[in-house]
Amino acid sequence: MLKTDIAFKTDLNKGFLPFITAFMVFVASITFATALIGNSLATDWNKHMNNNLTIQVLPDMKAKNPSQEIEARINNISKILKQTPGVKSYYAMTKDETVNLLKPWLGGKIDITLPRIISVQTSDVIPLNTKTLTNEIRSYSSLIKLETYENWMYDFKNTISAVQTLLGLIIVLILATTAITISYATKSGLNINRKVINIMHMVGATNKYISTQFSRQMMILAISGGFVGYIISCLVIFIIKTISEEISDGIIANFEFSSYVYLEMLLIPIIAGIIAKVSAMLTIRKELNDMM
Amino acid sequence: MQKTQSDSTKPIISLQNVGLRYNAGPEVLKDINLELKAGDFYFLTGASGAGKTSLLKLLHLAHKPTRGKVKIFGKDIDFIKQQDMANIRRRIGIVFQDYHLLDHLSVLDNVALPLRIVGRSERYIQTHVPELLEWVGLKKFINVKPKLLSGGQQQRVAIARAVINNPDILIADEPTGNVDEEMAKKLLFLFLELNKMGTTVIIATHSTNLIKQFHFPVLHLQDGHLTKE
Repeated sequence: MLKTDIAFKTDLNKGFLPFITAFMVFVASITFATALIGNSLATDWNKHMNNNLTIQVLPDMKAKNPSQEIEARINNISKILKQTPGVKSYYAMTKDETVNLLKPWLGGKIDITLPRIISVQTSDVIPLNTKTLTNEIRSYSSLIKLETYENWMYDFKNTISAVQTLLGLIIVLILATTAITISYATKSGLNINRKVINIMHMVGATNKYISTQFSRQMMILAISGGFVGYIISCLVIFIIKTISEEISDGIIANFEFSSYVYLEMLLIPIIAGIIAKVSAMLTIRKELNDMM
Repeated sequence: MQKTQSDSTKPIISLQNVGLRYNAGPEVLKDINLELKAGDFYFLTGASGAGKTSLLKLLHLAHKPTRGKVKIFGKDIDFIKQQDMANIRRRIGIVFQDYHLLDHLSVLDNVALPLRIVGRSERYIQTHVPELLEWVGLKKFINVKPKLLSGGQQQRVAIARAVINNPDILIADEPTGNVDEEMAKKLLFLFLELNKMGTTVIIATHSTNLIKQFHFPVLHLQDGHLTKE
């Protein structure tokens, strides 16, 4: 056990500081995890979207038989896709599949000719020239739209980036609040231990000797509280992840939320401890300089 | 360890026209002039409220004078830096009237405090502190907290803490007030031993018996004025 001459056992800080640090670290860890989830989500979706594009074939209502005409165009586009380098596979949704897809909104009996979708998966190895493909298809028919998700992904990434910046600011704010709280806790601790500090001064202790002891104790209290906050946040994240995987089988299940992330989060209580030590040290030095 | 000869030639404590008042209150010390050299031994007497404790506080740098000059080890305390202040205090052993022990520390840790502050090794502490505690009759209380000791025992712990570092100056405020006559004599002999090694000793006391038994000069305070007898 570390030897200390200052009476922390009777100090309010012993209970208060670990509690407040546990809370701060918990909030910061959850915020940090949310930022990491956002990052994971963006990376995962970017990877997924980059390998997919969609061709929307619109019906030509001026044609004699729009239903037959759209089938013919789908066949031709399929031929183009087959010969295009960089196209790994494609799938044209059938008329029945399209009707089934829209059944909840349009009902079972649909008399109009519906637009059709061709889903294209691109190759990881051979790059696809989307511009050439678009031009080729467009030269064949103007009633075709090619969606590469680039614009959508651009907006999505911007949004994720803005959210991450905001979360980063929140973490900075939490850490700053922790530093201020510790500074006030230190001042109260100094007041409680004023008699002890006076005695130590009288027997020749320097401010450095006193502040080192005090700040070391503050760091230990902050780290111990911080670890409690960290463990609680890990449990909360684990529970949320498990529940989400079970109920959604979708977005959350795709997160690459590995044990590495839990290790990264471990930095937060350590940073809290360092902040506690530095913040306490600065406060004590300032306060002790005012004492004789 | 014997103090060096050169120490005894210059005053180690010098007060010139010193006055002290607390806040806006009346002056408790008035025009104090005093020079103490290495190896001096003085009793300080005076009625309650005469200013004995205030004078001792000036001498161990707990207060600065309202007026006049205080020099300790040749340094004017008005211009002393914090680190120098700590260094000076390390050379002064103090026995407070109300002991000023740290209640959360054991007897050993209380006595060891000045040694730990100057960075003495645990080995040194574990050897020397028990030796001194044995001398003051407290070895069996080595791991006891001060609150569990009697007033006299606490006083002896305070004395042990004051002398453990072999100080250049020993300031004691009523150090024998709560001990029996035999222990009082024993403690005075401890102070004498330190004095023989060159420590300057100032003992504030009401005990005329002690003053008569040990023929040392007496400083007398009355209404804030200091006279030498």
